[in-house]
Amino acid sequence: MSVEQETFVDRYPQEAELVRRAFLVAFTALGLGALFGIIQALHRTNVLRFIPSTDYYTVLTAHGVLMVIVFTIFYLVGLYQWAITRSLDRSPTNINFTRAWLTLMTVGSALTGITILLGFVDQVGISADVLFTFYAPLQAHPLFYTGLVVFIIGTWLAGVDWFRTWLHWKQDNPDERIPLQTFMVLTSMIMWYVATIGVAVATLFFLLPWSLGFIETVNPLLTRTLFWFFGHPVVYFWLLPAYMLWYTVLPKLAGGRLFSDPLARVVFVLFVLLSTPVGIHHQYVDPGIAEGFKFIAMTNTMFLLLPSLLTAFTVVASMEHGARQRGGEGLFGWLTVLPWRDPAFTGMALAGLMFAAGGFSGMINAGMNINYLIHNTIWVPGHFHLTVGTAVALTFMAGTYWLWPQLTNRRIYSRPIGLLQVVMWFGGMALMSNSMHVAGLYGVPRRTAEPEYAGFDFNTAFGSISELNIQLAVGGTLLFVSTLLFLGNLGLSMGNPKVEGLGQSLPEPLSGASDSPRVLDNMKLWAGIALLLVALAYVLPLGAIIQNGGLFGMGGDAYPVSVLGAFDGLDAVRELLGVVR
Amino acid sequence: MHIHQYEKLWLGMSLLLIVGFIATITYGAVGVGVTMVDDSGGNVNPNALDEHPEFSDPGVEQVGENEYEAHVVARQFIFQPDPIVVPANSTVTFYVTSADVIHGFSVVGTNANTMVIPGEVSEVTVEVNEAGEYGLICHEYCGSGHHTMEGILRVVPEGEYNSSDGGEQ
Amino acid sequence: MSDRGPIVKTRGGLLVAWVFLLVFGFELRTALGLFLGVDVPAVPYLGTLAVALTLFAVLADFQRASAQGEA
Repeated sequence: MSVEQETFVDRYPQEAELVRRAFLVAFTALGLGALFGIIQALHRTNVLRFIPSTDYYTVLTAHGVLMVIVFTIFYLVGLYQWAITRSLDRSPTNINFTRAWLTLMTVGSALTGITILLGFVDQVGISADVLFTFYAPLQAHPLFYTGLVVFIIGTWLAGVDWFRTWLHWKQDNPDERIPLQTFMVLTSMIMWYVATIGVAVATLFFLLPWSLGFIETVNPLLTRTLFWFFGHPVVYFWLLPAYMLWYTVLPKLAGGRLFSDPLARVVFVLFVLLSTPVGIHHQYVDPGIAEGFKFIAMTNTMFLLLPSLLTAFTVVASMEHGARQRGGEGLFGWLTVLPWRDPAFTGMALAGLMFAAGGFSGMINAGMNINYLIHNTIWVPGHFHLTVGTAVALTFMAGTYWLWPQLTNRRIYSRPIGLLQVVMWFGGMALMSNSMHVAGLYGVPRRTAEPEYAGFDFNTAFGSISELNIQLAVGGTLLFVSTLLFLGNLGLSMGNPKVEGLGQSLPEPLSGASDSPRVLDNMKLWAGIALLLVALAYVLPLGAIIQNGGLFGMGGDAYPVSVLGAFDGLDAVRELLGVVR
Repeated sequence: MHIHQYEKLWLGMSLLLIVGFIATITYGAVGVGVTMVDDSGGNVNPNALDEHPEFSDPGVEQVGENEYEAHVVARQFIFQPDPIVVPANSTVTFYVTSADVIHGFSVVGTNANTMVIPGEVSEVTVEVNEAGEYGLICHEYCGSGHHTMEGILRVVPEGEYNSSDGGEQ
Repeated sequence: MSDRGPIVKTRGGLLVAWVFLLVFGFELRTALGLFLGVDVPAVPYLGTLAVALTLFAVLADFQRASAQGEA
C-alpha cells in the first residue's frame, strides 16, 4: 500500500475526478428514481394520486431504469475504477480512454432516460413506456434502444480498460497474485461480458431494427428469453460491488481484517460460472419452454445460493473478529462494541441483514412450483427491494460515507444525519417490503397503477388490504426522506474545507492471497467454463423457441407505446435506405 | 488452501440446504404432480386468431366426463370470454393466447397462473372444486390500460351448468 | 490493525438496537398473522412496543453513561 495517510485523491487526482463524475451520475439517478418511487408508492396505494394512471407506467419505467441501470452501474464503474487503481497502485494505461467510456455510458443513459421522460409530454410523441423489461411487441421509440446499446458498449469498453491495466501490471509483476479487489473487478466483468450477449443480440438484431421498421415482426418469446439471459446476471452485477465493499471495506470499519482471501475469490468465481445459466427461472410460467429446461435453471439457481451463504459466513466472521480485536467478549456481547455510530459500518451491516431476508424470499421465487403462487405478484418487487433496493443500494450509500472523503479530502457533513439516514432506510424498507410480500401472497399483482378491481376483492388472511397500503405508503415515504438526507448530506459535504490526514488504508486479510490455489487466478479458464455452462443451459431452449415460433415470430403487429406520429421523422431514413414497409 | 473448520461446517450445511430445496421441489413435481406450464400448447399466429378453429370463438367445451377445455384470448385490455363459466368439481384445461402483446392470466388466490405470449399457447390444467366467483387478472404490464384488464371465472354448481352455450352466459 | 482504539459503547448502538427490535417485533406480528392466523391489531401493538423499547433505551443509556463516568 501507499503511504499511510495519503488519500486516493492525493495520489490519483485524475482518477478520483472520474470516480466522482461516475458517482455524480449515479446519485442524480438515485434522486430522480426516488422521486418516481414515492409517486408510485402513493399512487398505487391510493393515498395520493396526482398523475393520471396512464402516466404511472412512465413513472414506473423511469424508476426501474434509473435505479437499476443508471444508479447501480454508474456506482459500480466508479467503485471499480477506484478499486483497480488502488489495488494495483497504477493509473489506467490511457486516462483519455477511461474518460471516453464514461462519456459514452453517460450519453447512452441520457438518451434512454430522456426518451422515457418524454413520455410525460404527449405533444412530442416520443416515449418508451415499456418498463425495465421492454417486452416486445410493446415497442419503445428507437432512441430508447439506441441509448441502451451505447450504454452497454460503454460498459464493455470499461472492462477493456480494466483488463488492459491489469495486463500491463502483470508484465511488471509477473509472479505476483492478482490483488483481491482487482480480482473482483475482473471476474465481475467476465460475468458481464457473458451476460450482455443476450441483451445485445435482442436489441441489435431484433428490437432496434424492428423499431426502425427494418423488420416487420419479432418473436416475443425469443426476445423475452434473451432479455432474461441478461436479466438475471445483471442482478449480480449490482450485487458484486456491494460484495466488494463487504469483503474489503466492512472488515476494516469493524476494526478487523477479512477472514479469508481465498474464499472471497471462490465466491466471485462461482458467480462467474453460475450467474447466467439461470435466467429461465424468471420464465417458470412461460409457455413455449419445456419443463426440463426450467428444472435445469432451477438447479443452477439453487447452487447459486452457495456463494451468498459463504459470504454471509465470511462477513459475519470478519465483523466478529473485528469486534473481538476491540475487546468484545461473550457469545453476543461482541455485538455491542461494534462501531454502530459510524453510518458506513451500520449501513453495511443492516444492508447485509436485510439481504439475508431477501435471500429467503428469493429461495421461494426460485422454487419452480412454489413460484406459481407469487409469480408477478407484488411479492416479487418486495423481494428485490430487499436485495437490490437495500443490500445493494444501502451498501452503496454506506460505502459512500467512507469513500467520499478519500475522493475529495473533505469530511462528511454530518455523521449523525448519516446514521439516521441508514437506519431510516432500514426501517422504511422493513415496512414497505413486508407489506409487499404479504399483499403478494394474497394475489395483488405488481406493475399496475390501480390494484383495485371492479369484479372482486382480494381475500386477506389477517389485517386488511388498506392496512397493507398504509404500511407501503409510510415505508415508501421513509425511504424517500432517507434518500433526501443522503443526497443533502453529501451535497453539504462539498461545503466542508479540504483537510489533510483523511487517508485510510485497507488491512490485509487474515488468510492471504498466497493461501489460495493459483488456478483461481486463471481468468481464461473461468470464462471458458462459464460460456460452456451457458451453452448447455441455453442452446436447446433457444433452438426450440426458434424452431417452434420462428426467428421472427408467427406474425403479429408492433404496439408502440408512443404516439404513431413520432415515426414520421423516420420515414426519411427508411426511404434513404430503400426499405419498403 | 486453508479453510477454517467452522467454515467447512457452514459449507456442508449450505450444500445440505441446497440439495434439500431441490429435493422438495422435485418431490412436488414427481410425487405431488405439480406440472409446469411448458411448450405443449403449441404455436399460433396472433394476427390469424379469427381463422383458428378454437380461438376464433373462445369458450368452454366439454371433452369428457367432468373434463372441460376453455379457450381464452387475452387482448388489450380484456379477456374473451368474460365471464368464463365452468362447472364445479371438474378438471378444466385452459388454453390461453394473446392477440396482441404479452399478458398475464392469473386466477386470484389460486395457483392458476401463467404468462400469455403472442404466438404461443399456454396450457394450464386445474382442478375446479367449489362453486363461486374468482377474480381473473392480467398481471403483466400490457399498455396504458393494463390496470383495467380483469375478468371473472365463474364456477357454477354442476346441475346449473349448461354445456350447450359453450360456457358463455 | 484498527486505526482507532477499542471504542466505547455508543448511543449509535442503542439507536440501531431500537430500530432493529421494533422491526423484529413488527415482522413477528406478520409471522403470527400468516402462520397462526392471529390478527394482532397493528397500532396498539406497535405503539406499546415502541414505548417499551424507548424506556429500555433510556435505561440502557443511563447505565452506559454512569459506567463511563466511573471509568
